[in-house]
Amino acid sequence: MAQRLDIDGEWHRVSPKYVWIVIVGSLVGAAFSAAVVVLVWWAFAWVWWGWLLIAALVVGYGIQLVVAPRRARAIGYRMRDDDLVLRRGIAWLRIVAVPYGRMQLIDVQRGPISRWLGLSDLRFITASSGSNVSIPGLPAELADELRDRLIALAETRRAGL
Amino acid sequence: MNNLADGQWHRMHPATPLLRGGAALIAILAIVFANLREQLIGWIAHVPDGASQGDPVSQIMRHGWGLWAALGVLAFLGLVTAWYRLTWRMTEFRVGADAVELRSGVLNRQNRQARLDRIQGVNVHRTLFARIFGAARLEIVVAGNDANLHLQYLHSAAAEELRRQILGISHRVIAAEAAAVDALPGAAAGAAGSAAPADLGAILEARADEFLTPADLHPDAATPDSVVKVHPGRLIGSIVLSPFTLVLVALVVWLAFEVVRGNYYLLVAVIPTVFGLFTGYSRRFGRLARYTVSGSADGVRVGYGLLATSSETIPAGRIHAVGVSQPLMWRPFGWWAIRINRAGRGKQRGQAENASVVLPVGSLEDVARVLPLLLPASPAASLDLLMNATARYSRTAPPIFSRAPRAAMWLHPFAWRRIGYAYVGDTVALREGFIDRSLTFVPLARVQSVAVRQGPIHRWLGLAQVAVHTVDGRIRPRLAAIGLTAGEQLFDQLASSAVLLASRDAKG
Repeated sequence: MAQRLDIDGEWHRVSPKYVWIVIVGSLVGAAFSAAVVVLVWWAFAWVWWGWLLIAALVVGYGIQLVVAPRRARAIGYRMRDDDLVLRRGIAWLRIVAVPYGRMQLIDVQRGPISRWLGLSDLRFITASSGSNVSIPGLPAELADELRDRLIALAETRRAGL
Repeated sequence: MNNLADGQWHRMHPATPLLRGGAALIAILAIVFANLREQLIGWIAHVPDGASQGDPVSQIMRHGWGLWAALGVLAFLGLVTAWYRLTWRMTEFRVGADAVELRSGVLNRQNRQARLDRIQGVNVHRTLFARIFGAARLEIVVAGNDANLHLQYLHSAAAEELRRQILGISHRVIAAEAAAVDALPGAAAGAAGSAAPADLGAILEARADEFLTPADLHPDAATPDSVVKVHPGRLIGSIVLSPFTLVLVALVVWLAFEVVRGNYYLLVAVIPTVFGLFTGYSRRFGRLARYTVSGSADGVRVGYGLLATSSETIPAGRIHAVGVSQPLMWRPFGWWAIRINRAGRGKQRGQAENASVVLPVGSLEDVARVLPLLLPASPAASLDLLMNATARYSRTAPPIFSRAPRAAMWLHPFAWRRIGYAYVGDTVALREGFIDRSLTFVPLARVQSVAVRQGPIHRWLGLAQVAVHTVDGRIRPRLAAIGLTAGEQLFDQLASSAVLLASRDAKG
């Protein structure tokens, strides 16, 4: 019965190095949560159920780390004739199609780890906050090239609101 | 009356300083009067002066500084008036060939433009104070956060006329641009810009003659055949019949119960709150009273307000989504409300709810009259059919909407039969809801993006969700459950027709 949502065609994948950003992100999150949990545990005078919290934390972030490569591979984009299609997520899968003429703004962002790995994130803003589309982990040159191409496409297909 | 849209710079209504400073003036007078009141009573009734020792006014009087104090107040008022007079002199507007411009500010000069081809709607607002002076504020709505242009204040009749002219010119500029784009793809902007002024001059003269007769200001005096008026009784009913009322009733009952048991102190604590809640009702009523909807050549006209009146014009091409909904408590009466999404009215603004309402409450017949005004591209008969299928759902009737598969029962046990979509011309209609029924229309030419999604439970049941993204507003068009392959197909259809219709729309 279980069927996976998909649409026909070939997806472009993001850089394999993007996995490291997901992993580092998870580790930072884990360290931060661990600090909070330890603080709470200390505040409750090291009660026995503190161990359960730590265990839950380890299991949760363990799963995240194991799934990280799949999550990175699940991100795909495709440039069709008139719109850009994006796919994200494994368990919660989401596919969005944004017509080129609807792009109001295209952002290129680089965090510290991205810069070290030579990656960039592309973010698209439309007049709707529901669109919420971004392609993380693109090689920097490709991201710049893609941005220029998308801006040119948006210009030729410009529509009002 | 002189023509305000002749391309020259114009000033506002001469009473503007008074109207804008009116609040400050009243506040000052109120403070002075409140302080003088004791004094006046004392003079009139010869009450021995003693209670008002700390009062600044009596202090002043005792020291014999009355004249100086009066002079001071007068000088202050003079300065305020002079300042407002100066701002009035420095504020000018002009309706140019391609934009409405407003320049204002004494120290910080500001020049704001609203491009005529980007105007989302033009509204005329009249506060009670302004109505006394026959003045009105013209609001030109453009997309963007707080980017609207306010021309305050103008003569009421002039504001009404200016609105018609701006909407008319805006319409022609869009059409001219589209024509120019079609003719000369290379030199589109230049051609449109240079050809416009001569043309517009002639058109403006014609329009000035056309509109020399004073415009009808009263909301009651709109075109009679397409008007929907909201009856005050029905409006009160619709305001009272809300979940909020249940909370209020529960509160009052609990209060009565406690008082019977002898806890009188609660009265003191809770009664002000209850009264506050009742003012909420009356405020809502005052805002929505005398509500009328009518069609005009420039778009849908909406007029409302008891004391402060507003009259809005929304061009049909600027409506991004239309939602018809019926909360559970309205069902016995067969009432529906119509809301829209439009650019220029973000969801973060306090008045967003107010701005999104087109029909606060109405019967099925009222809805049938208003919907064709909002969706002129779709045949009215089809809209009626869809509305009927939403209001009077029956399992035996031939299906008009798509059906979600049986598996959707697990996620939406009651609503699953009602979740579906249908196309009406270039508009997609989404129906959902068992408790709160709703029908949403999205003109495909206005779609910003389309999404299809699937969580773990949806995957297990072989389902998907489809969302249509429009500019932000109260309506979030989506289909909570649809069969997987049907969802994939719908996604493809919506995405490709959105592109096609948007490009056709841009060409006019």
